[in-house]
Amino acid sequence: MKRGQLKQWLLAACVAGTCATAQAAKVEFFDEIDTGPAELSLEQHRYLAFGEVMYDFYRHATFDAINLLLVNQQQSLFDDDTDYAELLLGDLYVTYGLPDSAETIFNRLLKKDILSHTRAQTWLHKAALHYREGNLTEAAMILDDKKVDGLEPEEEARRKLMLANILMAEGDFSGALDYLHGVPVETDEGRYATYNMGVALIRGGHEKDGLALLNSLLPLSASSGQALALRDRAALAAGLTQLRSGELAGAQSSLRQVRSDGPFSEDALLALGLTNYRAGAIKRALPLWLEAVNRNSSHPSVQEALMLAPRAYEELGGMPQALAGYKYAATQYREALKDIQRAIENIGQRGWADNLLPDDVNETGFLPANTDTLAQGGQLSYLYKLFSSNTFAQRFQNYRQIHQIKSMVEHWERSLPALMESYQIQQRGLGQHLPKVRQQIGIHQKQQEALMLASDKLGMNIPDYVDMSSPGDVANAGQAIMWKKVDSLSRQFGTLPGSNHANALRLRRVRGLLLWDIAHQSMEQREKQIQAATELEEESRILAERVAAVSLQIRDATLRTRDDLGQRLAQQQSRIDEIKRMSEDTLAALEQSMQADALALLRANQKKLADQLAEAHLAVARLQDTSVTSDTKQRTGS
Amino acid sequence: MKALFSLCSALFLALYSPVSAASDDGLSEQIRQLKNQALDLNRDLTLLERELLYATPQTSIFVSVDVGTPIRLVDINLTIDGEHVGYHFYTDQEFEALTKGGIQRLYTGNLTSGRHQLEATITGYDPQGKDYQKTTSYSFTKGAGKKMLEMQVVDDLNNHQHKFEFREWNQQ
Repeated sequence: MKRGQLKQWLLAACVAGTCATAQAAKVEFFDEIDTGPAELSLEQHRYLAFGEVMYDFYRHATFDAINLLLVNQQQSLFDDDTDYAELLLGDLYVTYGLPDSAETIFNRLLKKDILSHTRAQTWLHKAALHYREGNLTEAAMILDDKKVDGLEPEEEARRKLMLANILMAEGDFSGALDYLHGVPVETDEGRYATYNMGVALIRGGHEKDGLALLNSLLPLSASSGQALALRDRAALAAGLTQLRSGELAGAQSSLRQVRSDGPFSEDALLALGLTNYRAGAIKRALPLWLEAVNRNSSHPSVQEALMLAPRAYEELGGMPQALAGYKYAATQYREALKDIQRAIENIGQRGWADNLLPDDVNETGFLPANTDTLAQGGQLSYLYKLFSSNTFAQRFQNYRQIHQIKSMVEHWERSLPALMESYQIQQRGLGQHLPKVRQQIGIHQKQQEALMLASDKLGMNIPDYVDMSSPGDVANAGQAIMWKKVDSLSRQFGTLPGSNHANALRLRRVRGLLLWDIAHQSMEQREKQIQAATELEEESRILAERVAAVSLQIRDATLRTRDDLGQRLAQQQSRIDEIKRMSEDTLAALEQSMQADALALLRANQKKLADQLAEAHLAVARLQDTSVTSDTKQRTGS
Repeated sequence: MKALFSLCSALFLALYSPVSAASDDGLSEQIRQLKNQALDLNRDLTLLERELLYATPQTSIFVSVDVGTPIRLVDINLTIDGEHVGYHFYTDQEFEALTKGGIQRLYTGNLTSGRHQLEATITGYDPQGKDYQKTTSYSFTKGAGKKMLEMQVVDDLNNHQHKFEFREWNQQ
């Protein structure tokens, strides 16, 4: 199902509201300016949490999206103020097949004082829910009311589409057409509505209008497989309608627009052949039916063509070809009957429904099955027909969802012992280490405080100017050692051996040069000292944070040693067992009903094929009799 | 010939299967009940699991992209302090979810407090199909509370490639 444009609004509503603060904050490219961390506000937290939900929503992981919303609700992140989350949850409940839960949410929202746009949105959702449940009158009452005024253009199109479909179902074609004109035909919904409307008009006797609608779909560009298939379907429907009315040229023109490799190509070949046949051009009909005969013989149109091709030969006087054709048809019918028998046996086997499930649980599509395996079993073409039944498709959807639930429960069943063991290990580890850690953190905290005081003091004591009265303070390491020696020599000069005038002059020169050297780089050295002090303060701040983090962990760990998490985890086992049992029972019941549907379809096909086989045999016998009679007449000279 | 044209009508009828609500069989209530119970169980177990695994404040790293970006993100490889902590390959559906405003939680875990270095390598291709790979790094400090990091992959319109913007939050 294509998701409506509602989601765009939901996103906009949330993102606009929740991102406003974040967007307003100056966001710089990381390697240019680091703005540093900010405190997480409630709105920013909601922005992240709802973004996560939207990620699951748009990747069609409905169950995960609902779970995230419920978890966030439980943690009070989403509450009465977050109408957008409530509305999305309602929508997800509808998709997940929980209409009662959805309606409760919509009703709750409608009782609240909410924005007019959100109110209109909620009414639209409620109408969609009624529509989906088949309560068309209630849906129409909402959709045709002022309650839904002020919707966005995409939502308005959705409203009109639903109204058009409801009026179509009631047989009010002109009313439906009025609404349909407001739905852009380029969208998937618009295409389907136009197709449905076209066919409904034809069925209601308004052939001209219906054909016009179907033909309006043919020039539209289509890129997706779904859109191309619908275009083929429209061309085929238009062609068949015209064929039935005797407009053979128009029929041929429409039928030629069906792609030769599309899902309706066999039907189109059969119908195109019929068009030529009706026009008296049997020679033109024959190659089309022969082409159809070469296709998959399990297709109903191919099965029809198997008898029509030899009949055309017969009418053209090609009796040997006709005889061979009927014999070939009989062979193919027998093969198709064997395929059906195999399919019937396969369907009866345990785990048949599991084979229909896609590998990817989030995959969406018409027939989400392991098609290769099914094609080998000869079931595929029958299953396509089966899946086109709304009831079967709904059952299969439920089967998929319950299967997903079973997988989830099995996952928890495996995880729960591991979680409980983790809890025990945590408890043992905490019991063993916590007293020692608690004792040590006090010592470390004192050390960190002392370090912080010292680094602060150091930072404050470094003057932002250079004072050469104490050269050692601005000397680098090498200079400081040198200065210490020279200064010591100066002080002790006279008491040392060799304390003569020449050495005194030499020492004074060395002292002067060293002082000059220290003074020369003193500014640079002072800057380095200031920088080092700043770094020390930063390190000290991080250490303080680390001490705080460890203290918090000790507090959490202490709480953990006293909590009842282990008990609460153990309590889940009975819930898991119960849901697993229920899901297995439900799956079995669903599989049984799906099997019954499939078997009924296959048996109907079996009967039809048996009739066709009998017809083929009769045709063979008839031609052989004619041939024998003809030979006898020739021999007797009559 | 009548048979042929009844065939044509049958074909036509087969083409039109109107939209109708699914029939409500006896299983429906059982299915609804089961779905509700499963949702409740999953919610409770998710909360219990979080309580157990993230008893101390965790670090989470999120990924988002520019809404409607024309540039396709293929995968992301994430390391923290040189250790590989996450990789994700984006399917078409997942990338579409990101471009519509979804935010993906790429990593959640317990990091020690103090400084950390995050490194992300992404591969992608531009609308012309040109491949490229880009690596970025970001330093952050984990304190006492929760740490949330959002890595936004934004379009660099000049180069038709991605660039990264980081946002960082602390939660006490």
